[in-house]
Amino acid sequence: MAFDIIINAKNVVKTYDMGLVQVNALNGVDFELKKGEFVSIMGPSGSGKTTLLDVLSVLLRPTSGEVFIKGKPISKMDDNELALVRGRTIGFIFQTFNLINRLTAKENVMLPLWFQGIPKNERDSRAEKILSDVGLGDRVNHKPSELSGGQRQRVAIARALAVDPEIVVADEPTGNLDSKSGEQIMQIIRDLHSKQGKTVLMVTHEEVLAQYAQKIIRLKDGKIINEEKVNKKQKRSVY
Amino acid sequence: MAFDLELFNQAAENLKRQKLRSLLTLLGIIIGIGAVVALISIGDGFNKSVEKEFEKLGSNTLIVLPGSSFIGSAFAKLQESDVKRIESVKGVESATPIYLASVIVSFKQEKKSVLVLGIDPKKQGLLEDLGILSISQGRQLTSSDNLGILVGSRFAENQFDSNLSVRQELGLDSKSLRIVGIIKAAGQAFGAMFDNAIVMNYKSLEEITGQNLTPYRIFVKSVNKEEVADVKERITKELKRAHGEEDFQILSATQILDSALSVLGLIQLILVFIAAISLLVGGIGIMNTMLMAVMERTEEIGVMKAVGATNNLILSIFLMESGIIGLVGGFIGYVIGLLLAFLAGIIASTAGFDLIIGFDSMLFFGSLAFAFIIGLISGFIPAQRAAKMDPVEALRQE
Repeated sequence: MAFDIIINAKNVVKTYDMGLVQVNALNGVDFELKKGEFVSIMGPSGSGKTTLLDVLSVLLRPTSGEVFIKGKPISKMDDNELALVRGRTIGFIFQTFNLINRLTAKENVMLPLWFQGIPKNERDSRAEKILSDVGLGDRVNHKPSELSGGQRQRVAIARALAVDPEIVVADEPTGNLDSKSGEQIMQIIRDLHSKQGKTVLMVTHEEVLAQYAQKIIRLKDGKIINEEKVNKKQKRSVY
Repeated sequence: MAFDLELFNQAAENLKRQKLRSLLTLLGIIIGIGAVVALISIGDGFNKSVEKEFEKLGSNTLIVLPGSSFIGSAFAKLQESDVKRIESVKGVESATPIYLASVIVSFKQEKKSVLVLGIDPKKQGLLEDLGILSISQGRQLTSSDNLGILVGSRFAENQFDSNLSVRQELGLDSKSLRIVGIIKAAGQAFGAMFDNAIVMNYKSLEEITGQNLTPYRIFVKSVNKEEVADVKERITKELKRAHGEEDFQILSATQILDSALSVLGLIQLILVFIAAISLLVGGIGIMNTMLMAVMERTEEIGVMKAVGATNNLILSIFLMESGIIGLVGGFIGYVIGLLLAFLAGIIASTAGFDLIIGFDSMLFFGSLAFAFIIGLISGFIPAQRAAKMDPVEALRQE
């Protein structure tokens, strides 16, 4: 089944032009993300893991090679189409939360629904439900500045889930959190995979966090150097 | 699009968050639109007033003046006999000459050279019909008033240190001129020359000056309006025959109105153009503000793009913001401009000039549309910059 593979990268190269030098952040990467998988991307800084995440989540177009989202090559889509597909298919969780500070928690969660053209009252009720699902039912009208780091990341998760995307992409989701809230966030992400059946793609540089996944991809110098299955028995609470 | 209203709300919210900045940006547009609206309103008011004045003068009026053009009038002369000649023309109801001379008069300690208009007291009714010689105090001249005079309202107020009133006398050589009436302010058009002068029997004027005066103007009233153009042609033919050449000019009220209005229109156009320059500056202000807003909201733009906002939507959001600045600025500017015009009207009316200022829906909607378009144009480059922003760079910038 073609749709078993949601995202497929073929010989992806991403080159950054740094004035005089050209830096290859990705150097011919092939990758398949299958429906229902939980994959961690690991690697030392500068290995290209964030670039790979950006390319796989179609935020970034590769310099060469092709990325297919649900079988469709993104080189055939213009920026507007790509934005719509991205908004519908992928939910983002960022290390720095990237909430819009002047909007309330609910308004932040409603944003992607707005972009999908969902009517206001429906957006309203959906956002409230998702926020209460992540345990923020009583913080709906708070601004990010009035929330703790863990709460902010939960708002970001709620925003990622608002459109009910097939894939959740997380870029160092606990990087800016204390260990306790970090653990809570990881629990939520694990539940997204195990209970809601979401496909999860996560970048981390912490081995213990990577162990939450079913599969770990190791990157070095813009190339995948290793791909390993995680032994379920090894899994344990990391904090 | 289904969420136009939301776009509007979103944009309005963004603007409200930067109240001071939005206000300062608005100011540029407010001043520009305000100035343009005030100038157009005052100009239109002026036009309307002039038109109204000319209506009073009547469209069945013709004025004959010496010289084939305004410049040539120094040598060409009209004759007293021309008045009879004109009156004999078919379609003419009545005609009366006006003479002009300057004399030196004294009042109390002051001595001044003033203009005197000589009229035929028997034809005063005709001038009154034309709306230019109404009496506000005292009475009209009669044929027996040799040294009785009328004075213009401005003349009475401004010519000498103290105001003149009925029954006072002005000295002229050994004689004294007795004021029998004061002319009501006509304000504009032909009436203006009566406002600043003495009016007396032309026969007495000739005696006083010792000159043989020739008509300065001949006012003609045709039997009916429809025939004015024909009457004008007939008078032209008749006078040309008598003078042997066309050393005179005949103006109709509409003709004078047209030339006056075209001059006014040109002046207005120049003023409005100057005012419009401030609109350009206002537009640049909007562009500057929007560029700053785009820079400040880089991360936000990145987030919105990541979670599915299309380039078009981002473009619309920022365009909407600059459009709202334009629209609101246009509205406030219109209101302020109209208030200024009303104020000018009040000031003008205290000076005896009736400026007709009013709400004009064309100007209102025109100002709004124009200001909105300025907002859109100024906002386009910043909005496009936002729309084209690379989501990854925008997200990761510090």
